[in-house]
Amino acid sequence: MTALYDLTATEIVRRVRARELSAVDLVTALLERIARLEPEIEAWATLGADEALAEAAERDRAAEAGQIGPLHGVPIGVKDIIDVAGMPTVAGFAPYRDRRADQDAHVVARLRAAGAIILGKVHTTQFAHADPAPTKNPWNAARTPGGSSAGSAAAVAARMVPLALGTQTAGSVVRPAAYCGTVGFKPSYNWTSRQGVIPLAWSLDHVGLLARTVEDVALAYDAIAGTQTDLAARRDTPPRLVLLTEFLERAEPDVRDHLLDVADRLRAAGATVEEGALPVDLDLWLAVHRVIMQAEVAAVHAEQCARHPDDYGKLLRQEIEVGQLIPAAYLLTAARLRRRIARAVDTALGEVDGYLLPSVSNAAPRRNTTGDRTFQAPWSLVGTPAITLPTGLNSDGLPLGTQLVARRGQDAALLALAAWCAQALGTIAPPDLEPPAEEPEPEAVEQPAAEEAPVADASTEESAPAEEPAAEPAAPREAAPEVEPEPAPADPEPAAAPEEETAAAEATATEPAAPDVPDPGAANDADEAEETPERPAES
Amino acid sequence: MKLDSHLSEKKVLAQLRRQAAETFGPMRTFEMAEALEITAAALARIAAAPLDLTDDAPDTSGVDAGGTA
Repeated sequence: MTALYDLTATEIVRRVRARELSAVDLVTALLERIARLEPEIEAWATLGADEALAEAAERDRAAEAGQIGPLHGVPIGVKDIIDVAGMPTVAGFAPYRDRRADQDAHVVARLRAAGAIILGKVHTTQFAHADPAPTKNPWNAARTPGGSSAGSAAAVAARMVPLALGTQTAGSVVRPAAYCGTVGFKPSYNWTSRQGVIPLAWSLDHVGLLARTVEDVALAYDAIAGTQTDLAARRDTPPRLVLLTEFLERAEPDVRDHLLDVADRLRAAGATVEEGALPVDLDLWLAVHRVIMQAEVAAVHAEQCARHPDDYGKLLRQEIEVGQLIPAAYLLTAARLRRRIARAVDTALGEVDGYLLPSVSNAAPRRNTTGDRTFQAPWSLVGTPAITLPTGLNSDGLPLGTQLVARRGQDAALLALAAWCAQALGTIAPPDLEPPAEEPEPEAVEQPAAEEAPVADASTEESAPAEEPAAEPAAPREAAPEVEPEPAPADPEPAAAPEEETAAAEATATEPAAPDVPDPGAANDADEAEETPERPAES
Repeated sequence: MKLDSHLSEKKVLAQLRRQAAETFGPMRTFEMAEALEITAAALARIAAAPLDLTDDAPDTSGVDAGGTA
C-alpha cells in the first residue's frame, strides 16, 4: 500500500473519482508531512492549512455529488510570485510582506476550477531572480534546490505535494526540477496567460509545472490550457533525437557520462539518436538572452529598486543597475538576433522530434548559488517547450536530469515524447526522508529492495541530518522501472574549475551569505538563473 | 555608447564603467565590476554578429502576442 504522500496527481484523481480516497484525509496527511519535514527543507513561504482543509471538504462533497474535475482533490503548491486569493505574494521581498492578493492568478484559477486544492505558497528566490531562497535540497541539505522555483522543486521532491507551479525566465523550472530529481515542464512561450504573476522579464517569462511524473505535468497542463494531450501518441513510433554536442562539451564529467548512457538506453529502446550541433553559436545565443533579460529586468524593477535599494538582493540589484546601462541600439540588435535564432531553431527542430541534452551542466552545487543556467536559458529565449526527466543519480547520490526540447508550439508532442522516453529510461526513487522507526510504511515489507536501499555514502563531505541521498526501495508507484544510481564518475565531488569553464562566457561566482565586501573576484552575476561556478569555500 | 561591430570588448567595458560611475557612483561601479564585464562581453558579441540592413526586424514576442495579459 502506498503512503498518501506518495500518490501522484494522476493516482489521486483516480482514487477520488472511485471514492477510495478522501481529499480531507489526503490534505491532512500532507500537512503532517510538511510539519515534520519543513523545519529542515524550508520549502513553504505561506501554508494555507485551514483554507486547504476547507477546500478539501468541498471537493469531497462535490465528489459525493458526482462532480469530479480533472484535478479533483489534487493539492498544489504555488510559487510565491503567483497570486493566490487571500494569501500574501511576498516574492522574497520584505516590503511585500503584507501584500495580499485579492484574486487568483489565471493559472491558479484554472487549476482550482479543475478541482485542485491550493495548499500554499512555496519559496522563490527574490522576484524569481538569482539570490538564493532559504530552501534546501531534499537530497542533501547542503546543496541548492536550484532556483528560482526552489520551493516548488523541493516540495515536490520531498513529497509534500504532488504538483507545483513554477516560472522560468532563464532556467528556473527545468534546473531546480533537475537538481531535486523531479519532472519540470516549461511549455512554449505564451502557452497560458501570466495574469497575476509578478513579471521578471516580460518576453522571457514562462509559467511552468513541476511534478513527479510526465503524466502529472500533462494532467495539469491540460487543465490549464484546456487541451487533451495524448501521451500515448507516439507509443509505437520511436523518436528521432539530436544529442547536442555543445552541451556535452560544457557538462561536468558525471553529467556527460550520464547523458551518453541515456542516449544508449534510448537507442536500445528503438529511438534514433544522432549527435548534432546547434544551428546557432551558443555563446551568441546566451549573450542575446542576457542582454534582453537584463534590460527587461531593469525596466520592471528600476523604480522600485531606487526606492528600496537595501531590500533588494545583491545579484538582482546588480542586474537592475547594469541593465539600465544597455543602449537601445544594442537591445534592438539583440532582438533582431533573437528572431534569427528562433527561426533557425524552428527549422532545425522541424526535421526531428526533439533535442536531447543534459538539463544542467552539473548536479546540485552548494547553496551559495542557484546553479548554472547555460543549458536552459536558450530555450527560454526562443520560447520552445522543454522538459526535464529525472534519469539517474551521480556518485554523491544527487539527481541528474535529461532534458528534451521540441519545436515552438509543440507542447503536446513534447509531452508524448517525454512519456516515451520516461517509459524507456525509468525514473529514480525519491530521496529517503523517512525516520528509521516512525513510518509504518507497508513498502518496508519489500525486503530485498529495502535492504539495498541505504546506499548513502557516509564518506561524502556534506552532512544531511534528515536525509540520506540514497536509492529507496523499489516504490511501485510508477509503471516505469527503477533506475539504479549511475556508475561512479571519476570525480565524485564536482570541482570548481569545470563549472567555471562551463560558465566562462557569462558566469560568475557569488557568495550571497558573505559580508558585502567589495571583491571583484568574488562575484556578481545577475541572472535569474545565473551560470555560477561553485565555490568550495562556502561558509 | 555607439553601436559598432568593430568596438572591442575592452572598449565596451570601459564605456560601461564610465556610465556606471556617472549613474551609480564609483563604489557601486566597483561592486558590480564582474557584472559589467560579463555584460560588456555580451554587448560586444552582439555588436559583432553579422546583420545586414535588411535582415531580420526585432523580435517582439510577448508584446505582439499580448504576452503579459
